[in-house]
Amino acid sequence: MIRHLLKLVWRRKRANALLIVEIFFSFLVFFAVVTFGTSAIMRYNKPLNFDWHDVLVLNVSIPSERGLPPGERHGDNTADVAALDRLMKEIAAMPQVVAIGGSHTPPYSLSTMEGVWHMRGKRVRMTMDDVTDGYPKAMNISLLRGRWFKPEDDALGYTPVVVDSDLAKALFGDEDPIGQKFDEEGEHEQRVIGVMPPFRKNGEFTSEHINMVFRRLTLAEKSVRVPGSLLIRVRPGTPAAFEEAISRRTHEIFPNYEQRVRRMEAMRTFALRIYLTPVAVGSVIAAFLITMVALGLSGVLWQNVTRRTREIGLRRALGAAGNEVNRQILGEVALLATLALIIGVIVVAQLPLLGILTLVSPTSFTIGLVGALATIYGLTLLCGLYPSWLAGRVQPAQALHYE
Amino acid sequence: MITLNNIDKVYRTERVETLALQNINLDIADGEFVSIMGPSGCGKSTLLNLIGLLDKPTKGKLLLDGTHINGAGDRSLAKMRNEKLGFVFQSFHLVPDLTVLDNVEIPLLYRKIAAGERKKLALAALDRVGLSSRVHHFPTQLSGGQQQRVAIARAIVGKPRIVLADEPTGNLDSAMGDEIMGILQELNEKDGTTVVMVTHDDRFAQQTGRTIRLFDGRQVA
Repeated sequence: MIRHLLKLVWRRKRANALLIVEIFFSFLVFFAVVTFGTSAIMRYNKPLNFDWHDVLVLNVSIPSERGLPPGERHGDNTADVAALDRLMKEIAAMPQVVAIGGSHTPPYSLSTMEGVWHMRGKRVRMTMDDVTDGYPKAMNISLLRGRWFKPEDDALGYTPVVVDSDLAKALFGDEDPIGQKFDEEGEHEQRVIGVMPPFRKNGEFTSEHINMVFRRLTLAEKSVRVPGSLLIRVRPGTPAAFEEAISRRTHEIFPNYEQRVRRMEAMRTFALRIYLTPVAVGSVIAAFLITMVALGLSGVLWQNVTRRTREIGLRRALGAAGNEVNRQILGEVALLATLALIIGVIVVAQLPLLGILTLVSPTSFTIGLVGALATIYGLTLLCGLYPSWLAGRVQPAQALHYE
Repeated sequence: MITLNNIDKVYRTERVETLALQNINLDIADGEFVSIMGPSGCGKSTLLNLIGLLDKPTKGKLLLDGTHINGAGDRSLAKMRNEKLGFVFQSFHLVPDLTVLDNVEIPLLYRKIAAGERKKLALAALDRVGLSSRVHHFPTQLSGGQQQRVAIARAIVGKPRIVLADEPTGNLDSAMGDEIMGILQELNEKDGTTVVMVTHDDRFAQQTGRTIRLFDGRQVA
């Protein structure tokens, strides 16, 4: 019977082509939705390796010389740097404050410093931030190995850096990263002094392997670029009035510069919304598309059964029971779905070659593939249920005279 | 072989009730060649459909090969149609997307027969109707007479005891009609197959052993 169905499907390939195309595109849409959905869920469930609770983010818009040509840059205004240092020390001394640290691109800030570095004969994409000594305590970061920055590091003959374990693995493999030279081509020598767990800088939906590196930033340095954000860890239950006190004191020290105090929680909510809004819109569109496809498939299969009423009547006359006709129609639908899905799997199998696995993990990819296959098979068979049931109920005497 | 006792067939719609057959009593013996005649709309095809188990009588008793079919379920009716009956239709009813060989194999698909055996039986049936050279042709590549010969091959491939032919020569010219009639007669005479044929043509009816005449749903002869 399978061979007979294959012949029927093949010889009706023109009539079936549209159906195959429809199933093929539904598969692709579902694959994308399931893969990215799985990837998002898996990312969401991974640890951030920092703590955003009870953290205030103070931004002071100190004018920078960054816009000048490279030869004319000498770091930011020394008076501003000294004032910022004083502000940080004053805030650190407040009883509500646990720790304070400076950063150029803090978590959830939607800004990053990324680039591709050529090191040890490898080409590694990494994400970078310059942070002050108080940063790990402010963000509640723990280390896997080595240590964080400390004031005594001013005396070191090199710039200390802390890398996350993903970057350590990418650069040094199984070697011990502690003490390894970090930047072979840079002007200043840099060495790894600590390794932390994978850092999820942009929060819960951060992509895999961002390869984070923190360089030490000290306001005592001559040509320092001041950190754009101060991260202040406060004691749990600190009221919102404290934010106002910080804002007031900052205004007193920097009366001419714009400044803003926010809770990192609010930044997180905004960042998640930025990520989830297109995902939600995409899911709604995908759901709409799948519904349309399901309705379309049912319609096409129904029409297919109606068009073949005489043939169905003939088969009934020649000895097919109602449930055999029912099974035959479902079998044809399953064959069409299989043909479309074979094409779909061939197309999807090319995606790893195009680098899709840098966006999603192999596990998400596999779940997406298997999930989409199962869903489309299920959907196609579900759409075929009613038309095949109708076909099984065809009365042979009437069907043979059907026009 | 075939027994009909007090058979009535009524077609009902929401508003109209049509009495298609009324009080039909009929016995067709094994190996008979019977023709059914009558004007259009007299119930000839309805009677053939009842004998062929394609429809159920509204009233009366129908026995096929000694089996009472009135209470039979869909599956057992299908099995009886498949094993005991062969159908030949006026408009051939061949599946256009299948080759001659595939068309003839259709009844065997509903039996547990291996593909090789199916092919062997289908080729033998096609040889019997003189179409061995056309097995890989599609129905549209054949003449009307050839298509009807394919339909006959399909009807006899499962070696049924009864062949039911609904105006098998209706769509053919007289020469092709004679050819088809010859094949049916040969089936009846050589194999002892019971043939029940609906026809409008008195010439073909005279070549059968017995003629049943219907008029307005009643058996008049």
